[in-house]
Amino acid sequence: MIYLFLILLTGIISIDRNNALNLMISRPIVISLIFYLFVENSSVIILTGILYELYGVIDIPVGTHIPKDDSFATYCSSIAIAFGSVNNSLNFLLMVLLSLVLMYFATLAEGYTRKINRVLYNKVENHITFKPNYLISLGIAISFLKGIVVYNLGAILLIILLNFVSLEADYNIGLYACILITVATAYFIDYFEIFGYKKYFFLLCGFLIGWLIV
Amino acid sequence: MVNSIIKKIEKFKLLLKSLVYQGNWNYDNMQGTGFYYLLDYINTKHKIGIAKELLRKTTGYFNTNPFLITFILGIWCKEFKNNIDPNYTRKIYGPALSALGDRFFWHTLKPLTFVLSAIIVFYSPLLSLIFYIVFFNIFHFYFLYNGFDIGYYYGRNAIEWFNKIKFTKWNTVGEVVILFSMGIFLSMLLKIEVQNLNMSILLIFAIVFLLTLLIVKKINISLALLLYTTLLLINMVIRVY
Repeated sequence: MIYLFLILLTGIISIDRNNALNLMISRPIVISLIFYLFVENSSVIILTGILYELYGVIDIPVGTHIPKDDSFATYCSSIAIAFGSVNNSLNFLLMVLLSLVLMYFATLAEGYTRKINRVLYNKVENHITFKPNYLISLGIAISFLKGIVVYNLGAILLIILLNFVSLEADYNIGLYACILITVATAYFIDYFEIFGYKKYFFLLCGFLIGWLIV
Repeated sequence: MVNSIIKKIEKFKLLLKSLVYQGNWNYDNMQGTGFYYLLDYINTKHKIGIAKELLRKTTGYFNTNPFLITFILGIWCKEFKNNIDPNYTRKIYGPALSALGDRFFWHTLKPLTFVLSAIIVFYSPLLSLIFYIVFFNIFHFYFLYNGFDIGYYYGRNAIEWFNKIKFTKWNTVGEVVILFSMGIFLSMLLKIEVQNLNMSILLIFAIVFLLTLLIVKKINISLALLLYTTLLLINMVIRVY
């Protein structure tokens, strides 16, 4: 049952991200929370989701630009964590490294689905009975299938690679996740250019208040 | 208050259809197929009287922000009724609303929703998930549901409505909240996730943050993360073996 859920989830994530819905089910933090609540109760999954959300939130889908597939990286990483392939800091760092590399191919796959859509459109472009419903349904179906194939292949590949490199190390994943999140936060803060140096003041104020709250 | 020219149920159906209109997104006409799909639906349902030839012309290149598509449809129909070339208005309003929508939905609302739900996650992951989906989609559905009416009412002056609601100001306020909340989130994250947190560890985090700020403009985030991860991995391998 859980496998069927995961397979359907990958298809929906791909559609939500690229072709339809835009309900934000495909956001890394949402994917990681779904995993946390329904698959594996591990805080590492949430930390990974936060890391990839910070990574992807600054990559805006404007014009023909295809944003880096942060949903793919989160899904593969969450699967690897849920299946027990990430059990120490070394495996965690390796997981981040590999999923960043694999993400390139997932983003490339999205480019190909758009090319397939173009071929389909060009085929019926000048037909008298031009049916947009047909093209749209087909586009969504292709995206759904792409999601299932690419995301799950990526997850399997990541698990195989992580299991292949079985090294012993300490279990201090939280610390390493926080270092990488700090790196991504610097990019996230730099993304807001409207206030100049004032933005660091707002950030610092928030940090100090947060420090007092917790 | 803008009066609706289509029934509520029809507006709801248009909203549902606008959720899938990007299905054939491609490098040739981008959202052109989807625009035709939505306009064809309105034309059939409301007998606007758009000729087939004119309708077919709308399959050409078109791109806008997906959250504001119904505004363009409303504007298009109004201009058509006023005997003004609606495709010319579409060419102007497509990029204009794209810029407005991208700035608000992608640049402000998405990070804002993320940061707030990232704070909530420390208290309740379930609440955080619900918050993310609900908070973002309140704006998403509001604009899609009412966009056609507003676009139809204002026509080519639709930008007036955005000025009226001070739409660009939302970004400024949103960004202040994002930056402030990000600070709260970071301190919570460090206090909760880092074991034995002391001033030395905090200083290391500050150095990492400042060092990254120095390279932000030089290398992209993918390379930076790859670099940091590799360095940490090498350090760990040396330490362990």
